Formats: sequence, C-alpha cells, structure tokens
Amino acid sequence: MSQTSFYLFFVLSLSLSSLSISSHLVGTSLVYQNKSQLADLLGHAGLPGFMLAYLVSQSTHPSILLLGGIGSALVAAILLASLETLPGFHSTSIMAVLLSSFLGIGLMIQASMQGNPAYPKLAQAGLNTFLIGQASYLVEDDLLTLSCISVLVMFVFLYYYQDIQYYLFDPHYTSLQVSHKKTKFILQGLVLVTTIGAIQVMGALLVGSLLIFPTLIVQPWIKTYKSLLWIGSLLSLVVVNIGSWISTYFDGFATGPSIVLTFTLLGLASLGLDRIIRKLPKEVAHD
Amino acid sequence: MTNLYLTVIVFSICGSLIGNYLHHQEGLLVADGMSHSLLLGIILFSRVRPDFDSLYLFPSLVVFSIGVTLAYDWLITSKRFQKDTSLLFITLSLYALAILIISRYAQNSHIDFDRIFLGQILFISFNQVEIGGFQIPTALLAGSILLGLTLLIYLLYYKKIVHFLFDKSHYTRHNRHHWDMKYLFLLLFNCFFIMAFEHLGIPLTLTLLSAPALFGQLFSKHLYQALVLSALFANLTASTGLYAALELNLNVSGAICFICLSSLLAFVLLKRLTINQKNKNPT
Repeated sequence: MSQTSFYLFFVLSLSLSSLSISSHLVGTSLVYQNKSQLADLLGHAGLPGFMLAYLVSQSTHPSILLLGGIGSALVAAILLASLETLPGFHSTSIMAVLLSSFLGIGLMIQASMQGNPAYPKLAQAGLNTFLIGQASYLVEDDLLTLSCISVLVMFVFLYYYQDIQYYLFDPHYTSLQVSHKKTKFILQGLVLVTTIGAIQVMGALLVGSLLIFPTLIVQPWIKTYKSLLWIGSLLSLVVVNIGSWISTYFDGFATGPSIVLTFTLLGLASLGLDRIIRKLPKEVAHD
Repeated sequence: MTNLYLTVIVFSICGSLIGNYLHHQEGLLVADGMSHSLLLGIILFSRVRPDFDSLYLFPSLVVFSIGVTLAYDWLITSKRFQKDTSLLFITLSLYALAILIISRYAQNSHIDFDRIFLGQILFISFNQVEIGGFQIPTALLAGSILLGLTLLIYLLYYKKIVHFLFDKSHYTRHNRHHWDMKYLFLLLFNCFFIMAFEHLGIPLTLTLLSAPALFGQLFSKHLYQALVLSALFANLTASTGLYAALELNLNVSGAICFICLSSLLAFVLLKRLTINQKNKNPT
C-alpha cells in the first residue's frame, strides 16, 4: 500500500464516516414518517441548482455548488408541501412530477452548457459526477465541506433529540415546550442539507440509499429508537468504509454503487435470516 | 418536423391516459423506480447482444421490467419492509449494480448516458418503415399502436376500470380474477415506459405520466373528465415545449419537462385563487 493511497483512503474514510452517521440519523426520521422517497426527490431536485450555481459563478468551489443544490432542493420541498394540501393530489404523484421535472431541467441546463463555448471547462468541473457520484474525485475542499456539514447535522440532531423523539412517536404530546412545527422544520432542513451534501459521493440517483438503507436493515431487529440510532450508525459506518475501500483499491468500482451493493447484500441477508427465523418454530413443532 | 410533433403528441397523450391509472393506484413513483432498474436490463442485454437496434431488445426489457415489478410486489406482501422503502431497496440496488457493471466491465462498450437520460427524439426520422407507400418513423408507428391499444382498453373496460380504481369490493364481487386489470395495465405501462424512454428519455417519460394526471385531478370529478383534460394538457404542453426547444435551441426533453411543470403550477395557482374568491364571496 503506497503512502499516497493510504492518505487518500484515510482522509476519504474520515469524511465518509461522519457523512454516513449523519445520513443515518436524519434518515431514520424519514422512514418513521413513511417519507423515504423524500430523500430521492431532494437528490434529483438538487441537480438544477448545481448546474445553475456553476452557470452563474463559473466556480467549482463546493460551497457555491452546494448552495445552489440546497436552493433548488428547497424549492422542490416547498412545492411538495404546498401541493400536498390540494384534494386528490397524492404525495407519490407530486413527488414523481417534481422529481422528473427537476431532473429534466437540470439535464437540460447541463446539455446547454456542454455545447456552449463559454463553458469550456465543464468536463473538468466534475459536474458529471453529480449524476453517478465518485468519492475518489473529491478534493480536500470537498472533504472539508462534507465533514463540516456532517458534524453540524449530527450536532443539531443530538441537540434536538428529545423534541425529534416526541415528534416521531408522540405527535399529540401537548407540552408547550415542544413545537412540532419547529421540529418538522429542523428535521426537513437536516434531511435537505445531508442529502445535497452526500450527492458528490453517492450521485443524485443513489443518494437516497445512504439515508434509508441502514434503517431498513436494522429496524426489524431492534426495539428502541436509541438502539436503532446506535446500531444503524455503526452499520452505516462499516458499510461506507468497506464501499470506499473497494472503490479506492479496485479499478472501475465507483463509490456510490459499491456502498449500495454492500447494503443490498446485508439487506438480503437480513431478509433471509428473517424467513428462517419465522419458519423455525413451525419446524420445531412438526418435529 | 411534422413527424416529430406527431410522435411527441402521440406519446404525451398515451402517457397521460396511463398516468391517470397509475395516479389513482398511487403508483407513479414505481415508474421512477422502473427507470432506475431498466438500466440494468439494458446493460445485461448489451452483454448478450451488443446490438441496441435488435428486435429482441423491446420484449427482453418488458420481461425484465415485469420481473422487477413482481419482485417489488413480493417484497411488499412479505411485509418485511414498508411500501416506499421496498421500492427504493429494489430499484436503487439494481441501478447500483448496473453502474458497477458499466464501470467495471463495460467501460469500452458504447453506453450513451445522454441517450438514456435525454432520449433521442430528434433522430426519430432516421428510423422509418414504409406502409402503403408512406414513410413513417418507427417510433410514431409504435406509439400510435400503443395509444390505440390504450384507448381500446379504456373504451372496452371503462366501467370495470372505474370499479377497480374506486370501488375494489364491488370489483372483486363481480370479477372472478381480481388481478386481471392490474396485470393488463402493468403490461401496458411497461410497454409504454420502454418505448417512450428510448425516444424521450427518462425524465420526460415520467413527467408525461405524472403532470397531466395531476392536472386532470384539478378540474374534474369523474375519471372520463380527468382523462380528457389530462390528454389535452399533455398535448398542449408537449407541443409548446417542443416548439420552444426548437426555437431556443434547447434540449427537447428538458424544455417539455419545464413547460409541463410550470403550466401545472400556474393552473394550481389559478385553482387556489378561484377557491379563495369563492370563499370570500359564497353567494
């Protein structure tokens, strides 16, 4: 193992670890609210923002692109909340129209810039990685921004942990100290920032998996929310590091897909184990 | 140019009709999931037969996408995962596998992501068939056949569809096979999706399924009203988007997506204003 590749893996692993924990923390709230698809929507909706931010600033600085992504994802989230109040409008249909339109608009802006001589550095800007994601292309600026976002998200989540618990499991809690509107707003903000932050690693189309898959695998086996957060974070940390290790050391393995497929194998193992355990008492009784 | 307009209009109307069914079944996000997993179908097909114009591509993809939908159904009925997480689990896993195969084994084969995401509507005239002395683009012919089939199914089974969508107990009481309508539309949807996404790209195909269906809900009380209104909306927005794209030299799929979304939002605003006006002046 060369020193350079060890350093690369170490720095990458540190940022991805913090990202995986923060993603799992906020992802649990989506699963408990039956809004898993929101992560997918925000991932797709960030694309036009990234493109517009580059179009306006012609800078590839991660904070500028991130701001653009957060802006357009925020517009999508506001539109979703506003359209959901209309009679006959199912949230799945609204998400489908927003998700596809924002993706289409993002790709249209990208296609317009690709043919435009005013943007000759488009390919080097790495905007293509927003679609598929590639952690090994991240530079120090990206990793620093990613780590800052993750630590901030973790801090806010733990600070409001009690309120979030009440919001998710006891929405009728009437204490004046808990404002559900405020907690909902904070949670949605955290989901939005984490999703957009994770796009560079996972890609706009796979980013939802980082938020949802750990909860999906761990949830059936645990009883308390606290243990879900602990075990899920640990699982996410291990899987993300395995995924980034595979993509660093093996040629042609993109980070996002490597992480998702590791999660998938664990999910399938969880499914299989569940079936075996469900059958077990019957077989014992038969014997 | 006329062929281009006709093809876009045919696909938009067909999408609006199928989209209405999916909307009432709350299955429009399944279409998004399908778009992710179809990439794996295309990659696997390209490993067996590198020729993308092969006659076997379409039936192979239909079989593959039906398989994915059935796997999704199985995962829901197993009650292991929630409905929305089941969809994400299956489709994102298949999409990740597709990307991994491309980046690992198919780096040198020509898989055009722009073609998959944005379609190739401007090139439809290069692939034509001759019928009765007329040269017709294959996409237009295939789209027209599918539109005809969709209209026929709605005309023949309209009452049955209404019961299936809005009164399940009545439907199951009067029909021995309560799943026939589901699988009929599953086949129709998969055929439409695979045909449309090849020419229009993934985002536009999804937009044509979802935006007109939501527009239909805004101003209608009955399914037939919703179907007519959404077909009109799809027709108008698709042709306006195509015109704008050609005039402003924009990508066709993106321009139509933009026009569809902005028109829908404008009509939602109009509806809201009307409701507010009515509330202020109830007389």
